[in-house]
Amino acid sequence: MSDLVERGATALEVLVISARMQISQTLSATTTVVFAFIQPVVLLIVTLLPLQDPTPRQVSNIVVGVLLTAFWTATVWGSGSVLRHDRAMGTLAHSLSGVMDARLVVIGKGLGSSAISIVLVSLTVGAVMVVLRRLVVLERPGWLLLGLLAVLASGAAVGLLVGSIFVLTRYGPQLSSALMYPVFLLGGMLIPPDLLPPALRWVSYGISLRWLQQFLVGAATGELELRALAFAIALTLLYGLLGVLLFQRIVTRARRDSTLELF
Amino acid sequence: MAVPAVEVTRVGRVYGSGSKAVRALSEVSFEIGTGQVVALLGANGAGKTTLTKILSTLLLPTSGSARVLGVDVVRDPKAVRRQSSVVFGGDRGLYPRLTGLDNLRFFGMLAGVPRAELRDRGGTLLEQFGLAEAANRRVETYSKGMRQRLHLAIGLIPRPRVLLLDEPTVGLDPLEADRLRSSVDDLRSEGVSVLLTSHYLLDVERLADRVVMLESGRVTADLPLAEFAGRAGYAAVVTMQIRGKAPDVHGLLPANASVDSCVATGEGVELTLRLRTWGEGVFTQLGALLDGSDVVDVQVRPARLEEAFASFVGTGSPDAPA
Repeated sequence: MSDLVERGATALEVLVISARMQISQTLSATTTVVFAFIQPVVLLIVTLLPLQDPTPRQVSNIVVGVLLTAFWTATVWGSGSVLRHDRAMGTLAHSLSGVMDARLVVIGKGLGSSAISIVLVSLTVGAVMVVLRRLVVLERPGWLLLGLLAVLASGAAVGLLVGSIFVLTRYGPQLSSALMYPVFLLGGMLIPPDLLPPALRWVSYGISLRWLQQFLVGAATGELELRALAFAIALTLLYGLLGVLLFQRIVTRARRDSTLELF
Repeated sequence: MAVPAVEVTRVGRVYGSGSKAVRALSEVSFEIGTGQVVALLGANGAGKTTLTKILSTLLLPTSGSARVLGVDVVRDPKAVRRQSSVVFGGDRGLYPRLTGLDNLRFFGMLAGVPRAELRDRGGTLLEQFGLAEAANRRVETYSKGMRQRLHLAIGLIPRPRVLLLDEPTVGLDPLEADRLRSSVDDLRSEGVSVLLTSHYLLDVERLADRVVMLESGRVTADLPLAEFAGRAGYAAVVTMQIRGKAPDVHGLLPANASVDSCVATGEGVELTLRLRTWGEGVFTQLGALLDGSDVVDVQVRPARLEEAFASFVGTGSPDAPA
């Protein structure tokens, strides 16, 4: 029993240190300025300024949409690059030749990347709202916090999945760009899904951030949309499961075919 | 009968398939006993890194079997990792934004070391490797030598019974390299078995009990160090600085000696002889040879490991050794 507790505590500490490392990495990366400051500021100005007397729901919708769009950028650039970065630094070999599961490092870094992204983007959004003198209602802060935790988990799961795909296919930079914009346009975060052509509307249903947006906006305006949260959690679990399996495939393939240049 | 620390049996490894297949290892077999330091030598592309990867469970063999302390590296990689460590050479493989102590603790945790033990031993280990003062500094501020010593400390924190060392002294200055060699040498007395891969034959000379020579993925020699060095084809080299004319060596040259070179210098000549064996009477024979010559200086040195290495890889100038 005590061995189990010890292993659990060690796993937790690996997660925390990994997250801390990724936070430090994110704070020093120049791309952080783009997703955490420039992108949300531009998007908020473009979407909020033309609106005359928007309803609280409209404002919340835009604010949450901008937050999640910036978060998506951070996830693809940050969490999605963890594996590639660790391989380039030569630290992946250490993780893979250890006794603890190397996925803990990737998940921990994904959580770190997601957490710092949420904090930075929220600060930027808050500052812009103060400057624009727009009020954001926060009717149900507890549920809102739960929603943000779900965003955090979703970011880590997407990071593991996307990062594994990047390493597995060896086309990380190209796929980063290919993934970024379709989700911006079709993910339902900036353009409401019901404004999308019906033939493309289904795309947003498979994106957890679209459901999280619906839940967060509801929590902010007082309507609890638990169905949206359930969809988001289910999709997050699916991403996580696929990520875990793909990561295992990377390790198996690397041992069999020497596909990772580890050292 | 004691289980060997490392047991490699007819291991083969092929990269790719069909017409693009490259055979990196073929029928490689050898053993490492408890507390032994075995050097794995070979030119670039001989298969050394492939074998290290297989033993560290990062790569599967395509044939044969490899066991670490009796545990198969394919069937139970986690059990192998619990008892062994791999130390990668170079200054990569560390988190530059973490301190030395944090790197040690982090990789120690990944290696399954209990946190209490990490707390107790982390500082001691860094002190042992001369990193105590830099323990709380970020690794990005470390010199190459410090990073290399940190690698070794990380490799030792799980108290491995088998240590795989890949180019441990690469890029280090002579003092740093010597310090690291001393640390590895101490492991022998603690019963740790070491497989050392190095292009620096001084590492091998100082540390290894045995040499396993790989050439094109095959073992071409598995010999005790002294016997391997003897494969240079001679025991010693004698270099003489002679003022004026070179002596007429024909007829007077000892039977076990041959002229390696006779080069004109400003004052006279530099005559170099190779002696296949070194024994009683050598100096008397050399005295007879030089009788009447104005000898300024005589230097005798034993055959170098790199000369033995060169004789194995079949070239006059070894590929890699520095």
